Amino acid sequence: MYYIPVLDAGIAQRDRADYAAYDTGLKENVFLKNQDGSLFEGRLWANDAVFPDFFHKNTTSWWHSQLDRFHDEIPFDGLWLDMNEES
Amino acid sequence: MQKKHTEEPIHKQLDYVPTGRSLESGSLPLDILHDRNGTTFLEFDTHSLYGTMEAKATSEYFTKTGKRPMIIERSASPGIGKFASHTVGDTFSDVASMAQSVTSIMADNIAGVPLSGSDICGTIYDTTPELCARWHFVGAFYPFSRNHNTVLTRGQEAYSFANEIYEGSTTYLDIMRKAMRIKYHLSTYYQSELTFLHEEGGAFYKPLFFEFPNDPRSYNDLHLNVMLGSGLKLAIQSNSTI
Repeated sequence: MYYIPVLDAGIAQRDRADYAAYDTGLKENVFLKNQDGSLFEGRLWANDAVFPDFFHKNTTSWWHSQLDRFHDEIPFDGLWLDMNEES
Repeated sequence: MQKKHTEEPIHKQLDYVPTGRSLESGSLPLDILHDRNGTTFLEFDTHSLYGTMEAKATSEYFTKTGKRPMIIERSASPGIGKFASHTVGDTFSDVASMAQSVTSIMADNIAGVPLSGSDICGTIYDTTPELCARWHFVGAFYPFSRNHNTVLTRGQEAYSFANEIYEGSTTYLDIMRKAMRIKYHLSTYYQSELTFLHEEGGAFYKPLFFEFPNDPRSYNDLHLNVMLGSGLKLAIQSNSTI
């Protein structure tokens, strides 16, 4: 039996909630921006959400460390990448 | 979706919009910026690459940690087959969508993604016992299938048809169970064929004309005839009009 959970592109935006995926992403500057340089804030299944910018040089290593943390909690075998139109 | 920070947003400057529906409908503003070492790229120019870029980063994670990448992915652009497999996405609970799922999976195979699949029984709107049972059979032959629906629609897990009679003492659940047995019975054949394609490239779930290009009949009724590799042909019977 293998476990392949669905993973959405949007990262839940929770200020001062000690949510590492969001906090470290802010620090690494990996989220999509508006024209004026501010953080783009959208809405997804997680409600308020920000989106990783996979063009950014920091994003792949940040993404890998988040997947490591996720895998420590839930040892997945594969991933179903969803809502990445980005919608 | 969000407050705009531009005086003249791109979506208002476009001369032509396919389908007439805003390109921002259900998605990000086209003015959003991506950053590559200080050079910025507009969402307008990069939108279709997002899923592929995400799949590439994710594939590298699996490789780096010594695992085989097993990624099913929704937004795709050409080249995705190097990094991930593909789901053709949400379907509607009707016969036309079931037919379309067959040709969509063929299209993925032609585009270099052999491990492609679809939702069965229909994602959007209520399914029916007959449609769901038929789709269990059609889906048994996809490279993968997922019984999936959206909120506020009727339950469509196979067990929810346990008391729905097809005829005599046969329930729709019995039919679905038979389809699932066939699906798992075929899994070794599928694994062999897909492993070969992983090494050699090519298509698995194919229209007949891929194997028999000189036979004019192989171009008819694409959604009812599928070649599964070169050794197995699936014929889907249908008395439904689509």
